[in-house]
Amino acid sequence: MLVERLRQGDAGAIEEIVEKYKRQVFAFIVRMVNERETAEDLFQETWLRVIRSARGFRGDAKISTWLFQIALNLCRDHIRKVGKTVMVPLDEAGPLTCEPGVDPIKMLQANEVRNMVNELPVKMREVVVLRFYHDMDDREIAETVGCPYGTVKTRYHRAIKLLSKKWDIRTREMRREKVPRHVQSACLGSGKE
Amino acid sequence: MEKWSDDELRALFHAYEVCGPDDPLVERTKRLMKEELARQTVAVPVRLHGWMVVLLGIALLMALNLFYAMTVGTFLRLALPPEWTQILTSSMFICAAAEICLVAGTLMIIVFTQLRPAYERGRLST
Repeated sequence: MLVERLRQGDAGAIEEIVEKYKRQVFAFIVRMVNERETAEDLFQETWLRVIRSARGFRGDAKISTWLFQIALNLCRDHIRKVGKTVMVPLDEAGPLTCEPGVDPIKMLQANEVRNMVNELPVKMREVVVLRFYHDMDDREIAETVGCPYGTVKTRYHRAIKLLSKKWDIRTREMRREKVPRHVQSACLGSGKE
Repeated sequence: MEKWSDDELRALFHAYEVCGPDDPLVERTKRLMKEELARQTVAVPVRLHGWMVVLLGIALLMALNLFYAMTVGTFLRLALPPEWTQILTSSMFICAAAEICLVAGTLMIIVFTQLRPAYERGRLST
């Protein structure tokens, strides 16, 4: 087991664990703090904490759950320190998609979704990000965010309700601004009215 | 608005992709992790050394108590009136009992924190 090897001081385990989980952990942090530079610092700090707390990992949870727990605690501390999530202009936030020469419509759509996720209260955002981007079920989310299973369900339903409202508002705004229908549908993706 | 299904929401959310982390960041992180791991491996004997100091401290305290019993205690036993002998004897018993408690407490701490397997210490410590 990777953590057991880390505990025994095996440097080779570092390569393996980082390569295996780097994308997931980084994407999670970026989605939580919405600022690439901060996310890079938190990414580094997360992995250092992995080394420091490897002795305390009992092994009854998945490694990914444990990693997300560490990253989430750091994100929470950061958000608490900053006071709220920083809203970064699109051109300063770094690329939203990995594909080179990306379709500008896709960029718009990505930006809409990102804004909606970032406008959610932190506790709801945690649940939404873990569920939709990291495919966790409610029990895993409860373990990661450290709250009862029922609370996760409540937060999820509230988040969806809030997202629906935001979606309606955005759709109305686009209509008022007379954005062409094909751009509207591209930006708003598969959401229903 | 109609209710969204999980799949529809997932498809919608996946429009927001995140790139990275960049290779230099990953390499830097790995280097820092290796340094931290090396530091942690070296740190273990230092921790044990701390416990040695505690045990030495307790041994010193016991030596002082013996010194008290054999010199000051003996002198006082001779100098003080016979009715004080009982108080003097009790004070020595109290000192000895306090030291036994200290030694037992230290040993228990060592057993429960140092000798217990790491995986039994707490659940997910972050």
